[in-house]
Amino acid sequence: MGEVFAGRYELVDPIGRGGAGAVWRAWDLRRRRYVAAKVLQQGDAHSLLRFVREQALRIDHPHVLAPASWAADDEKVLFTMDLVRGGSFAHLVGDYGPLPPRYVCVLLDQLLAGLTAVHAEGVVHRDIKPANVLLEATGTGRPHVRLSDFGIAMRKGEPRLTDTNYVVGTPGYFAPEQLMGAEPDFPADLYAVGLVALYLLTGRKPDSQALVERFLEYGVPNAPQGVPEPLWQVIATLLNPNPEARFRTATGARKALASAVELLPEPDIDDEPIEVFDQLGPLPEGFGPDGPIRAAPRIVETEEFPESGGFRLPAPQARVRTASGAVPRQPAASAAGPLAGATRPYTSVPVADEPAPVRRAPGPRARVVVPVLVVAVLCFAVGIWALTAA
Amino acid sequence: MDTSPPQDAAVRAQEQQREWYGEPLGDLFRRLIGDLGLNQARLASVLGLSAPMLSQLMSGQRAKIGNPAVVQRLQLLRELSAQVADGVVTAAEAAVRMEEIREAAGSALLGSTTQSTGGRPAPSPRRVVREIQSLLRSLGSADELLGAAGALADSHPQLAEFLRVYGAGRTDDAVAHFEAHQD
Repeated sequence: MGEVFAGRYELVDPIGRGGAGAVWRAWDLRRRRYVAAKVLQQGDAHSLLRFVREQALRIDHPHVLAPASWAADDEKVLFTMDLVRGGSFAHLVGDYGPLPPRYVCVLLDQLLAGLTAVHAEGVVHRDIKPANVLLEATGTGRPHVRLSDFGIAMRKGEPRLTDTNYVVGTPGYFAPEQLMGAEPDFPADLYAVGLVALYLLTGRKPDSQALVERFLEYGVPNAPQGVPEPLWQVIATLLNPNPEARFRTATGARKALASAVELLPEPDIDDEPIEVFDQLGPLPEGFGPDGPIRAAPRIVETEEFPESGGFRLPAPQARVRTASGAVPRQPAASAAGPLAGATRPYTSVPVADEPAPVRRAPGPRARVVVPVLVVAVLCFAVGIWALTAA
Repeated sequence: MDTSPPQDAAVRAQEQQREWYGEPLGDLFRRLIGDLGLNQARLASVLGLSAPMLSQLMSGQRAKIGNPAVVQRLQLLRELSAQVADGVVTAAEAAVRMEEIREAAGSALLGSTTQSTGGRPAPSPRRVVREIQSLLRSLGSADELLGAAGALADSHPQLAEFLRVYGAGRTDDAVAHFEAHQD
């Protein structure tokens, strides 16, 4: 069984690694669901913790993946988010190389929509890069982008607290003014979106420095190979080294993008169909779709949760013992067997959330027994009533 | 949409893979895994593919490697595995080299600097011609294609020539035809 963090989150398996800490798939014992959990040292957690306290309640947008709650344990802090299964833009380009322009436009539109919501709260993301833009596992359907990793996000105009906040961000996806230590501002995020766009269209990491030099020497460069002219007009305006000459807002860039799409050629019928795979492997042994498989029932009490906060839901049940704790779990002996060999093929079909069949011990389960008993009691009562009424 | 049964589709994908990569990718990947002491996850990581994509390519659910950088890494890995099999390169050296290949995302290791502006390198005429040939020949035998060309000769001479050259002619002639008709 995995380590239980702060009495509430059972760590299942590592699913990624961010700048400062690891991301785990975790089972939330209280809400009884799988979540993504980013575990940070207290020292590194400072800005994220502040972000969560101030913002998460408000940035609730389909294309933003913001931390929903946090919990602290000894030297570490854990932040939870929805579990997003489709990997990142980096996975997509690794698998397919340069992506078709129309597909890229859908991705960029959603990314900019998410960024609009972030900026509307006065927050500068500061770390937009392919690995931080995640995708739901939508298979061959329409992609669904989630902008994630607010680890170094800052409120615009807020004083920077520490020196370490000064040099943060991912080299290569920095805006030039960011490199020179300018105060965080929205156009820096838009520059990073421009670089991400080039990455998606060309299949390789763009050379930001070379672009800046060409801009400064010769003005707007020609469209790189594989980038259609109308789309390049938009991207080049995102990539202008002078933040004053860039789009001022994500919304502005979105509008320009929408006009550019109209001028793009129809998709090539020979294009490989793009499928956003489920990138999370099957659950490891000892875990089922309904959580960890244990030998003995455990009572979970919310009072155990020392320091934690929920943001999406004001958690009215926080003082109440969760009902989940009282539900008897199935004996491990019967459940571990069939699951051990269960694997899930990689497909586009979002079967991941379908419960895998778990064989249970003989005898009806509580969920069946209780309603049956209730119905029996009702019948009995009606019978008595009928008799007495007659 | 393809309506043929899944097995047929997989068999056809493996045929295409044989055409493009010399052998079905399931066989090729399994050999690399054996020669280089890898597992599937590690091979996927060195190639820069996701695990589900590697699995689809191996099973023939998908025929083509979409990312040209991956094709190049695959070629480098293939050379490395041959060297390991010949005993020219030790396991330790191979491990170091694989790390270099994994990191080689569009660097000099992956070839020409003319691609530095990004974009898909244009495939060679011979490769395009081979794909046209293999497509035509998957539709009918050389005799059938010649028959079709004969039927079209009067009404559509250029189409007839196309069928004759790509369907039944020598590859060099087809390449010449292709180059003559490029703009």
